[in-house]
Amino acid sequence: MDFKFLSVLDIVDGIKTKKFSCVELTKYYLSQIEKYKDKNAVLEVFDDALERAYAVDSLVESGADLPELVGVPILIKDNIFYKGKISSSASKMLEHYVAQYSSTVVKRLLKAGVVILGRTNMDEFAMGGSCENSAFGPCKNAHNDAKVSGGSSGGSAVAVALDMCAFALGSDTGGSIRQPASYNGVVGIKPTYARVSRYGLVPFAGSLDTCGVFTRDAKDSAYIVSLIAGRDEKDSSSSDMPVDDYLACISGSIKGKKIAIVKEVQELVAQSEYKDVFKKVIAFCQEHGAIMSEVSIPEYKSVLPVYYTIAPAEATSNMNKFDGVRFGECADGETAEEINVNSRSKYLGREVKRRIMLGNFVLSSKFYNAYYQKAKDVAALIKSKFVEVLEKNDLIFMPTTFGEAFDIGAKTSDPVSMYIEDMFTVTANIIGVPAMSIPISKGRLGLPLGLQILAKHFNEKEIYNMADYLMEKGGEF
Amino acid sequence: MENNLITVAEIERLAEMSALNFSDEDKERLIGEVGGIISMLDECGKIKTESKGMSRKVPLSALREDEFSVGLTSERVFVNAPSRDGDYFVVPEVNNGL
Repeated sequence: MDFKFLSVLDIVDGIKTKKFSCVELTKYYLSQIEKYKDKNAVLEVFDDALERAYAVDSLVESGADLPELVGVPILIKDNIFYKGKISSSASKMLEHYVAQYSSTVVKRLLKAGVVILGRTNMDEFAMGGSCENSAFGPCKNAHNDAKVSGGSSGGSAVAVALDMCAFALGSDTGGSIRQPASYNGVVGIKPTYARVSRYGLVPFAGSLDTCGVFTRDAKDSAYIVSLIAGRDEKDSSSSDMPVDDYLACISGSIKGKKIAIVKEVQELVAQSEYKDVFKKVIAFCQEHGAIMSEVSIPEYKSVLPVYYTIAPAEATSNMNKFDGVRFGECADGETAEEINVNSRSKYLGREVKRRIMLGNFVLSSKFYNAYYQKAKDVAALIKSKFVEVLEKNDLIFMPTTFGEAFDIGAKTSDPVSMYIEDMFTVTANIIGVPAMSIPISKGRLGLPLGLQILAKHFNEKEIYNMADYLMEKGGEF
Repeated sequence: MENNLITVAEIERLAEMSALNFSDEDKERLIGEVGGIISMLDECGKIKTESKGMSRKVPLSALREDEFSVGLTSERVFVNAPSRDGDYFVVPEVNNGL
């Protein structure tokens, strides 16, 4: 049986109809993880994965009703809790931390029958866009060892690209699913904020964090997100809006769909290899009945400062809990205060410390109004402009990144140059809308380029319909 | 890139608020790094927005009645504790015993 790049839907069908067993499939993915271990995408393979696969095969043999994702082997990002397993957020601070409960997203997937193979590498505490901030070494791009995987969910993206699992979980606060999806040539969705429970996701910035998934096609993503989305009483911020059957919403047509592109975004990529790709995508969509228009949002240029004010502010508050007392690593000290400072200084990484400092700067009484409050005001303005565009259009297209994955080490000495890479992705987090990156083309070096598709709040179905159409009918542009 | 708001004194103030300590070399590095980031954040100041209260029109969170339920047991809470004495986390004296 050839298990190469099987889709999730084919796996479920294959296991239900006994074309192959879960154990055979799990062994295949475990061998893939071993084959690509030099990529450093997977931090730990769980030792009970095979045991769970055997349990799934017994369930199938029993003739019982089978759940929706029966026997599908997956990987989870290292900041998503799975009870009894280490969940370190790729930080020395939590290197030995064992999750005492499972996140809601993991619970829902386990109930649906998945086999969790292990946890994936990421930027420490999800702070980063390259996976170079991991305390356990960077993750290499799936297609080129000299290039970054992207981040912060780099390990999950690489694992899906290289067939180490059927799909993987990630989290996205400023682009941490979409950007690595683009860099590695896979599909990555950040659902609407509050669409998927954050219970059991280690928080970076609570008003921006979203759990999402990496898959190799849009249909798989649609199927999975329908299962993990929905109200969770453990997460009071989660929405009780009904969850669509996203797979059923894929109609096979984009006729009449209104798609906007943002003039200020297009100006930013005017000199990049995206320019020609975009023209081809737009021409294709128009040929197939979509209606394109260009809108102007002059405030767009401030999305990055808005994000890098609000996100560190929330992060600094979330990071206060690491004080060497209740969990996490503990350094020596004569007093409790010394233990607090010494533990944080010793076990937190450079980027995390920088963001904590930044957060305290913008929240301090001297600068609160000029920075934090101002950023919130500008965020509200940007949101209103985008909502206005999305009231008149079904979707917005923009690039996911400026281009192909950059070199490992190229941007580590200049944080601002790293932050600029988030220019196109932070918008969806600031305004809370769903956004997906799909592989659309390859750049000059033969590395993937992604197209980003945004929709109104809770309208993932529009994204899925368009994404599937472009991938199935458009192919590589 | 430096920003005149970010001096050694400011880095030390932020470090104290952040409960972090830095070497002198790190402090110098941070002057440039944090300064560069703050200069980027200054772009927000150029956007005209309505009164300061604009973003405060947020709906109240949904509230519910208290419900008794079992959360984490004490044993689970202490599994990851660096130091424990019965049902207490152990720390050295706080505030020098004052």
